[in-house]
Amino acid sequence: MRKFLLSTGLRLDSGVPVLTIFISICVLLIARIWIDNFLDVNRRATRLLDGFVVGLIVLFFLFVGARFVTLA
Amino acid sequence: MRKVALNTDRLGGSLSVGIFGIISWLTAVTNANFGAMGALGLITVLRWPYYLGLVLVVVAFSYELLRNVLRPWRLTVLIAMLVLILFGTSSIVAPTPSLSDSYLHAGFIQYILQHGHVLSNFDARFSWPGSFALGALLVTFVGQTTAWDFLRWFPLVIELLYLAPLLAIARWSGVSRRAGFLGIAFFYTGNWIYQDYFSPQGLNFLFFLVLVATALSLWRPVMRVAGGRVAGLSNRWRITLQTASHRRLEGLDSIPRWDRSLTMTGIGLIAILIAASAISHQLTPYAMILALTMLLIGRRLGRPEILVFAVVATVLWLSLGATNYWIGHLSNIFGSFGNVGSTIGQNVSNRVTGNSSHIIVVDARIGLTAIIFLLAGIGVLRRATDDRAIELLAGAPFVLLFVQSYGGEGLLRAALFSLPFTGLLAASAFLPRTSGTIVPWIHHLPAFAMRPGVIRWTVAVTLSVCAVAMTMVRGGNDAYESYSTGELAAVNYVYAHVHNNGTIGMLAPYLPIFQNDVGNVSYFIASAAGSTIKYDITQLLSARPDYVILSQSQNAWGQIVQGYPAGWESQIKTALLKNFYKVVASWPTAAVYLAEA
Repeated sequence: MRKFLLSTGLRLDSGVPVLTIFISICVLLIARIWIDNFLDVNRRATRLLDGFVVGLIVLFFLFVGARFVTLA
Repeated sequence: MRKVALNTDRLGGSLSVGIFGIISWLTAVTNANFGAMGALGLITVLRWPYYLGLVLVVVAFSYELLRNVLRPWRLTVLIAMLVLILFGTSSIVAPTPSLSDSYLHAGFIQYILQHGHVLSNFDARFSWPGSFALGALLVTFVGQTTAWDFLRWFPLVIELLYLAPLLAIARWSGVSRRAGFLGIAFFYTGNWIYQDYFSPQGLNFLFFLVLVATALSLWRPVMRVAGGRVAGLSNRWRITLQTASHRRLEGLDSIPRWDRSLTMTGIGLIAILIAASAISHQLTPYAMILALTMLLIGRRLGRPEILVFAVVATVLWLSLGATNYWIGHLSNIFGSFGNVGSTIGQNVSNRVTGNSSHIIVVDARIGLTAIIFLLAGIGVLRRATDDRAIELLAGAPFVLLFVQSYGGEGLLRAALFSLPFTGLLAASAFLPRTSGTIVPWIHHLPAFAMRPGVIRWTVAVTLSVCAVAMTMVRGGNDAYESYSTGELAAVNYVYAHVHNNGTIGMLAPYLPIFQNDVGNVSYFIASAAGSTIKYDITQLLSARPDYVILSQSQNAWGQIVQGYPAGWESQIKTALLKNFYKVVASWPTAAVYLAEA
């Protein structure tokens, strides 16, 4: 697993992908709370946003897991 | 009928009684002789005026608590007096700050002040540097060059700061106002765990309390049974099954108390606290995650996104910021996963050791905690409520034991995170709320037990017992964790003379040490090297540190914790002198040995 991850050349140990995804998650979470509280938009729009957030969180944990595997 | 029982208004009011208590306490602590401290610690230097002062404040509080008209400000002032007595005594009596860990944290701050960054690969705690960086900022802000001045009074100051979020938690938790104040008193009289010294965990516990207080004040539960009440086993079970519903986990079973902008401000505050804690402490972020989960399940968190943010922020810092800590040592984090038995073994059984006085102190600690948890159990059965968030918050920290032994301290930390809520439940054993959609399991007590006079005296006696026990158990380690001026002078002497990359040796880490030259000087601690140092100091001699400090506190540690006979340190002195060490400086409580070339 470790060899495979390193062979992809994604530089998982740099932490940049994890940081990027984290910031994206934060922005989307803040956006979602703000939309819910202040905008009268339909349920479908917030569902779409939820989908993005969940996808990013899954991606986040995949990258974090890969970072632990490559560095531990 | 004219009341004769405990009418302190005739004596000038509860505050006057409290002030008499404080004067009596001041008489005791200013006359305490630190040098005469025995194996039982702080209580051996305190005389009767201390206990008189403590009991007077507790009695005044109990009277004020059960007056017909509640006076919150007076109760708050009386609790502050109680905090002053319980947490200020040691700071006054001991001539120097206690606990070597607080000196180490001052050393970390010193390093940041001198170099502008943390030292990599030095200590796990440097992987969570938020509190140390804040400390460095504060030291600069107040125009000092070291964090020394913060150490001595930090426990009292931080405990007083805890009071503000505790009042908010008590106000919004759903217990009665009177039970809220009593719960805070139980928190303080049960908090012997001593995590309020100058440390990241002391500061992060404040963050934890503010986070819970904010969430509890922002959201209230949606009433589940319109116009009805939850009673009977089948009804309770049916309602419990709804706990994991999709609706619940979306936060739709909670509704905001305030307008949108105030709610958003509260959410922003919570997010800042989570981010601050994630970079400041190893354990508190996980306690926050558990608390947020319980608040969501308990219908007191309307925004599950906050929980997601807490998880992601915590893992992010572990993954990026704490790389130094876990590379090559992942078993430190996950090694004890699921080993609850061994974790409890490390946390309890291994502590019940030492001579008879130490065992008395440890047993009293277990007893005091057991009393408060037992009362909390009764409180759960007696109280009516609209939600069970407090019960969930009280139980949640113990989940940490499944994950981490935390170096044998996990149970203590879990008990501390639980205590603010356990205290409120314990208070509900005496003063339960009587209205709520969830009806109590126990409805009625005998008529005499419901009389205010009986409740008042029961509260006064129980709190007095807890407060006196608290004095004993909190100061129970002071014989070896508080230091004399001679010991501090010995340490300062060594720092003034040791060269760069030199080594300082000691028998056990019970000295006012580690505050200077972080990274430039190394330490050899014989007790950490694995041998029984009473019989064998070959490891100390073969490490051959440049300086060795022997002291009264290390001697006391050997006798109290290890059960060594009196005068055991003199064997070590003889061995050092035989092996080409000489005494270069000495004080009545410490001596410095230098390795001869």
